[in-house]
Amino acid sequence: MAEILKLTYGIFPKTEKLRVRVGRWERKILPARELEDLIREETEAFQKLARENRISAFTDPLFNWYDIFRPLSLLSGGIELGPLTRYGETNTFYRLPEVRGPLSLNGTPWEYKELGENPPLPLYHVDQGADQLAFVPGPVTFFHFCGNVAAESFGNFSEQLGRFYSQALAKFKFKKFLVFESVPLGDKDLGPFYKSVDPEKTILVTTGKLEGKTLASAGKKFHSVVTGDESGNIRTAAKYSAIPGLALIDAHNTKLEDPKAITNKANDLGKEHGINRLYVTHSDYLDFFPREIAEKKVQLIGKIGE
Amino acid sequence: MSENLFITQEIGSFRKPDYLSKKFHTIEGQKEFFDLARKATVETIDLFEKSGLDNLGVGGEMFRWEMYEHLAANVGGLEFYGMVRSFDNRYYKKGSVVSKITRKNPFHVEELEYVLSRTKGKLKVPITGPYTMMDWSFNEYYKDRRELANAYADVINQEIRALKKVWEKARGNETLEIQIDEPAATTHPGEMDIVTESVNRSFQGISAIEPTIHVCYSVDYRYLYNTLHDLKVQGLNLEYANRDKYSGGTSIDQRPGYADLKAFNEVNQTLSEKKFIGLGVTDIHVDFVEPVSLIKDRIEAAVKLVEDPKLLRINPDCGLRTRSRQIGFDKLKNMVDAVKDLRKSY
Repeated sequence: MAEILKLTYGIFPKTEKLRVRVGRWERKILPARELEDLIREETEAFQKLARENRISAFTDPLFNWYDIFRPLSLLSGGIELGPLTRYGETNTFYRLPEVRGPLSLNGTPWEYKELGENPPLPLYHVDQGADQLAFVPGPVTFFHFCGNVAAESFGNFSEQLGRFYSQALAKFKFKKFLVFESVPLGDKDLGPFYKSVDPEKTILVTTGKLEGKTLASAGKKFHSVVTGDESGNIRTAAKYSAIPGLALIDAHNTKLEDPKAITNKANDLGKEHGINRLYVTHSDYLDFFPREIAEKKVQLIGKIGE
Repeated sequence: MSENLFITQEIGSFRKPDYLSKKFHTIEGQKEFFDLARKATVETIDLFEKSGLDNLGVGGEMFRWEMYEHLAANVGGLEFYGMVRSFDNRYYKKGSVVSKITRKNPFHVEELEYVLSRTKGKLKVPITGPYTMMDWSFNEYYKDRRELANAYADVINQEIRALKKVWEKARGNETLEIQIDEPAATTHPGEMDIVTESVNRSFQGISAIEPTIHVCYSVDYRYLYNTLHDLKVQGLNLEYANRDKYSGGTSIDQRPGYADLKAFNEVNQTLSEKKFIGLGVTDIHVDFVEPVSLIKDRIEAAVKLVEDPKLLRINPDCGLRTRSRQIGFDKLKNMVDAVKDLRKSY
């Protein structure tokens, strides 16, 4: 039987209490400092939830991120906020990051700071546990969802993005990063981005068909490449990462999976491909759910492999 | 001059008066709610009539809070686990389909009965469409998205039949206008066949009605235009002003928001029964009240592109509930005044 490591990542839905407080902050009834205190408190509650459910690795729940690009856009010189735009084929909207010039770190994301069009920084609330990961949208995803006003090539953009992340994250002292790619990597050259972000410290969450050549372009094996269970993907993920991962929990359906069935599926795939350790996680971040369901999904991930 | 040219219409929702919106959720379903919803409907019909609007819709949808929630609250088979983010700190109730979708209660019968009792004017009933209901629900029960969209279509079909009975009682043989609202219609371009099938199914077997569809903020309306051979609607009420400039002119270059009507016309010209366009001429996301001259330019540009003025009705981009009642009124008034001017020259 393969050893199953459990992973959860990305924006986690807020509690009712936090939503109400953010609303008050938006209406300028609640001071930003008080909102930040509550965000920190709720983040600690999330960390407790993850650890109680034996989640092996998790990112910050990003309660102060309005969307997966917003605080990064606000921290970067060269990016301006554009209009509200539909996020892929979901019914969720984000502010288009309009890339108008070279990216550069503008500010100190590790410190408290009011941002105006997003709840206050810091970018992440960390307690330095080894199980905590930095979350960033990957270069392919950022490039796909941005407004490329400067007409940058993917290569130039991703190289700048890699440098920007490495500067923005330096003081947080994360041991590993989670790079989230919500659109297929296709045949993109990942080399320029991974010059600044070490693949060996990276859990790369992917979607769609994986090409070995694309993963190889990063220059080193990844710590993990997480994939859906499309035919052949797990083999490719295993070849280009130390610990492959499977996204077996549906992040767009409230129906709760049976942990035993997921365990069996993970074991079968592990056995078939000679994998003795693998991550199991969800297919997208969990902010598309009501809070109650997101918590239940984390709880059921906790039961996988046990 | 033709009174039937460029018929002016509302799309659906209009800002509720504070006395209704502030209490809506706490009194919903109680006697006080119906009293206040009726009062607000009368006031809104009055406001629409003062603006000179030809079609009064259902008086600004005062009986409904939100397009998804209203219908979802009246169907069986849905469970609500909580709020889901739309953007920033804006959330909506997204239901999970956990068993067979059924029509638990009528959705709009009471509203239509009341509106019919208050006006003899031209009306149009908006109903949230089956594809949008499907797309905005979690699906724990049905085999796939098509099956769920069709299940919603079946309950909407029952609702339209009920509305028709109410309508015939009051208006006899006059045609009932039903507008299916499908903001999600083009969000999954690979599923346009599901949109077509489920919208058609909503109207299936119901005669003597005028079916239309309303879509807004599409990334590309051509996905919709390309369904026109199969989509059994008589008209498309669409948003265009939001994409347009504020400067004057009637050429395609000067009116970029309306340029894709060329693509509509190419398809429309191949149909044996041509569809009309409900032309969005006022942006519901800004307080700027488009002047009469700008609205006239937009309509004239559209006439050139669709080639036949009889194929145009005139409306805001979407429901005006996003604006104050005063701004909403000002926008409708200018829209009507622009049409009155144009009718003199056609």
